[in-house]
Amino acid sequence: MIKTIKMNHGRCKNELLEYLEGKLPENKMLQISFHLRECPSCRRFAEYLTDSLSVLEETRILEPDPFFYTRVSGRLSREEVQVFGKLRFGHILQPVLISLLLIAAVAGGIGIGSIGKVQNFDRYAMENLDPWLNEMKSEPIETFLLEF
Amino acid sequence: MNEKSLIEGLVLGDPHTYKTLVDQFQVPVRNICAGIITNRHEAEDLAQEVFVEVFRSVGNFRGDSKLSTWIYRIAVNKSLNHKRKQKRQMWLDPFGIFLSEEKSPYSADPENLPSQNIENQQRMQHLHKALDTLPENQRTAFVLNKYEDLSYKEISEVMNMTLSGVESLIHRAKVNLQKKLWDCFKKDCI
Repeated sequence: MIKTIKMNHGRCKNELLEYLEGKLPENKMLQISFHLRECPSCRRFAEYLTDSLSVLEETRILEPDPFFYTRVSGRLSREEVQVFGKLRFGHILQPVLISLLLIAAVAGGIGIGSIGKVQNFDRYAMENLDPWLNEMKSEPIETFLLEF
Repeated sequence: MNEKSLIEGLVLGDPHTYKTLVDQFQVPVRNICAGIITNRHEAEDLAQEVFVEVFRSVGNFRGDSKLSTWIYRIAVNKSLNHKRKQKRQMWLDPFGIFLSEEKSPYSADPENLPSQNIENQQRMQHLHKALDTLPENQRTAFVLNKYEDLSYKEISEVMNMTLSGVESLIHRAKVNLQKKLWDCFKKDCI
């Protein structure tokens, strides 16, 4: 009998919630109720838990809100408008804008490329640019090798 | 209105069926949202979102489970996503400077409240803090059981788990909750 009644604080406080809900086997219910009778600390904790659970019970919503449906339907229609707006932009405007930007970029590139375009560019380059790039005239290879 | 006709009406977009569904399920959905995200105002907002989601995706409802189970699952998922988003925001902005800080509806000005209410509010705050520290699945199972009185079988269907898994989750949730509340009790929080 003593063995069934004996219970320590740790085990008691771990099972108090289920004891308060009455969900423990009969034997354990008995052990805890004996322990609570003898232990003021666990008894106070049991009262604290009971109060906390009753507060939880009080904050539960029990009655339907008569305006809830109005708010939901308002939200639904608002979101439909938003979705329609998003769809219009997302499915039509966005691809059109991106295509236009691509066309503009390609055309711009072609335009920039054709700015400096000269007829017979190879001949023009040979006559006008190559002399400036050819350093053999200003410094012949023989002079360069002698200095080296 | 039975479940079959409810679904048919929803698929057809019948406003009368919409209203019936909202009236039938608003209390449990609001309780689930309030239990998981703890802030009453945000929970109300989220509960509205749940019904918008239900109306939008009712066409995808295959009828594998009960309509109520499907709706509760949406409510749970939405609430958990909201909670995760809040955690991300907390991580990005720990001092709440740039993003709005979550404010508990139970943190009203104590001077305007009777002492009994203050005590209850403090208790509620401690309970919510303790609930917040529980892992997501433990908190969800506890809320479905405590706030909505769902049976373990119904919870297992909502959470897509086995019955024994739910039993173990709820037991661990209660043990962990007791530990947290015991710490608070030892420190004379109330």
